[in-house]
Amino acid sequence: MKVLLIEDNDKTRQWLIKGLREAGITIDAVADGRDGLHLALEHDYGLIILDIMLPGMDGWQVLQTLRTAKATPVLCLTARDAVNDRVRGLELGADDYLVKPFSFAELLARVRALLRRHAVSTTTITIADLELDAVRHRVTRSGDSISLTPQEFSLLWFLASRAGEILPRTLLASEVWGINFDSETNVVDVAIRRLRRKIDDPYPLKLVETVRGMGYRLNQAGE
Amino acid sequence: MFRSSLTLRLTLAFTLLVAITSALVSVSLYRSLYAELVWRDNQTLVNRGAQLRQLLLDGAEPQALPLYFNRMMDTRLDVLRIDRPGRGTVVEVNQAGVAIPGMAPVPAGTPPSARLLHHWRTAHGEQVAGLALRGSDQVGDVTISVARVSTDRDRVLARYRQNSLIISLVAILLAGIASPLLIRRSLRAIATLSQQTARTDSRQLASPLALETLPAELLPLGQSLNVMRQRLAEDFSRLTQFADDLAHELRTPVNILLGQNQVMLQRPRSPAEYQALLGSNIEELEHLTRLIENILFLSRADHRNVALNPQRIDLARFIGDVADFLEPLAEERELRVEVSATGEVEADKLLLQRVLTNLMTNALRHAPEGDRILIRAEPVAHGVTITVANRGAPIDHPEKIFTRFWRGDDARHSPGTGLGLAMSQAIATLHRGQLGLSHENGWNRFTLWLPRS
Repeated sequence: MKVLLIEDNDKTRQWLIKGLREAGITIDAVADGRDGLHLALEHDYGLIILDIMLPGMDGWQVLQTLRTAKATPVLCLTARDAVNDRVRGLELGADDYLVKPFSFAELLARVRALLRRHAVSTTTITIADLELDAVRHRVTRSGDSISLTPQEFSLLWFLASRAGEILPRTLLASEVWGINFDSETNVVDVAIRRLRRKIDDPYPLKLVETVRGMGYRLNQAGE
Repeated sequence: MFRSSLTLRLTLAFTLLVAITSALVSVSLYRSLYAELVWRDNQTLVNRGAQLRQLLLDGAEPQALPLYFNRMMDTRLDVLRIDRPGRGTVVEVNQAGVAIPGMAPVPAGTPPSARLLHHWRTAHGEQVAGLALRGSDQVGDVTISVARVSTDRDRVLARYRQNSLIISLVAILLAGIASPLLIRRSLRAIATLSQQTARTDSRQLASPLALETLPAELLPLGQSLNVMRQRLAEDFSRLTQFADDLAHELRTPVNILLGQNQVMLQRPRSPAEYQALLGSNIEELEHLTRLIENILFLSRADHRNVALNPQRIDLARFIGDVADFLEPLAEERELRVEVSATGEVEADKLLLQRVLTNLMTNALRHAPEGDRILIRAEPVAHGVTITVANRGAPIDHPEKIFTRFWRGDDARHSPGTGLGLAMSQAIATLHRGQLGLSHENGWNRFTLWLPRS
């Protein structure tokens, strides 16, 4: 699925294009709201990343006009963290928003989530010799049964269900513990460390990888 | 746009007041003067009639009466006629040429009074009062008629009317001219106050306006202005301090970024070194991002520009979740977290999570290794309290601990932005609650009180 990026700042647009393309996402990018709206109405994109502060036709207007014709998912980028902006964005039909400055890992994780919105949910995941069963809350590695606390299981399940993706710490805190803000603690790192002790340390193939400055990734087999 | 002027309005009011007052005074004085003059004229006429009747009765000659009469009164206005029934007029003094109508005479022996007077008008419209009396002299019965034309009185009254009109007009004119001058003079204090206020800038905020010269009416305004200046001065100095601190806080990470990048570029390095640098850069930048977010939040909280999203929160479950989240940190320092919580509260869940995470992280950081931290939530009068306690030495300057960027002795080495407690307190205030610190028996205890919705 193609993604359309509407962002007027050249530097920001450049690094977003580079980052998303390298993550394997096909992307069209424009700097102008009018051009963006035109493209969005012309083609069927999987997702539109929309900067709100655009010259000429601003992001709100683009979103409003787009919503009269299409239901393409929209991720808003806003420089102002004003509550009114959030409310307005959600009222106008934005599917998600990020406040600048945001981290690329955070953006990528959300883009992937929005692109995969209709993915089928499974109850078992197998990665290399790691097997997870969500129904019975059972984990085995190389056939050994591993006992995890409920929190550890949720963490591992989330990592495994998005294997191969870099997941930022804030996303893990929010998805696994329901803590929806940057807590300034290293609690996620400590939790990962404990998880590693159980599922990685005894085995030669390490599955949980730290991506410095970005987050954590569960490596798929062969990578 | 028409801006109503205080001077104009007051002048109009004063002038109207003077006009009404002088009209009332003139009219009432005129009426009493008029009544007085009429009463006197009437009394004179009645007395004269009675006197003449007595004179005749005492044997005076009717023909001799005009002689007295001339001396007693003004012949141009007064009329005297004596008739003998059936024999015509005996004596007549009537220079005014007033036609005397037939008047029923007052019977002999009855004393005349003002009530018996007749009133009519001459051909020229002048008022006339007259009286006829039955009497007798040596010859026989006579009818004495006396009358008086009011020309004199009318002239006096007319002059009075004219004078009062002139005096009233002068008074109104004076009020109209003098009021604006006096009002402007009184309002000069306002102008002075405005100029002083308009000249105020941040440096003069701390010095109050001089109130000694203000009139009593403007004193409350002057005092309110001074209270406002005082508050603004405090806010302003807090803001300045905050900006100073902020600049200082930014300096450290920016310095690190600048320095380590430049050092790295001095010579070619291996990819691993570049990767390590970028990772370190990102850490500093994440710190800056948090700083920006927190400062924005505090600034919006200051102006009450944070929309709360209150919901019912079951405290036992809520605290349990946060404790679960932080449990790895506790385990790392071999700390036990003991939770005892009951009750519910209505609050913004996300913000309350922040407060609790913050207080618990502090406690986990400062508790002695291997010890425990206590979290307790319970309903109290008008709300709930949540306390987070850890063993530790009393905190120096407990009053400063909620100040932005304030850090204790472990100062710059502790992680975080130095805004955590300031944010927690701002969140408590947004919920109309309170956050406080106490020290008891070796325990440091943060207590958050939230009102019952």
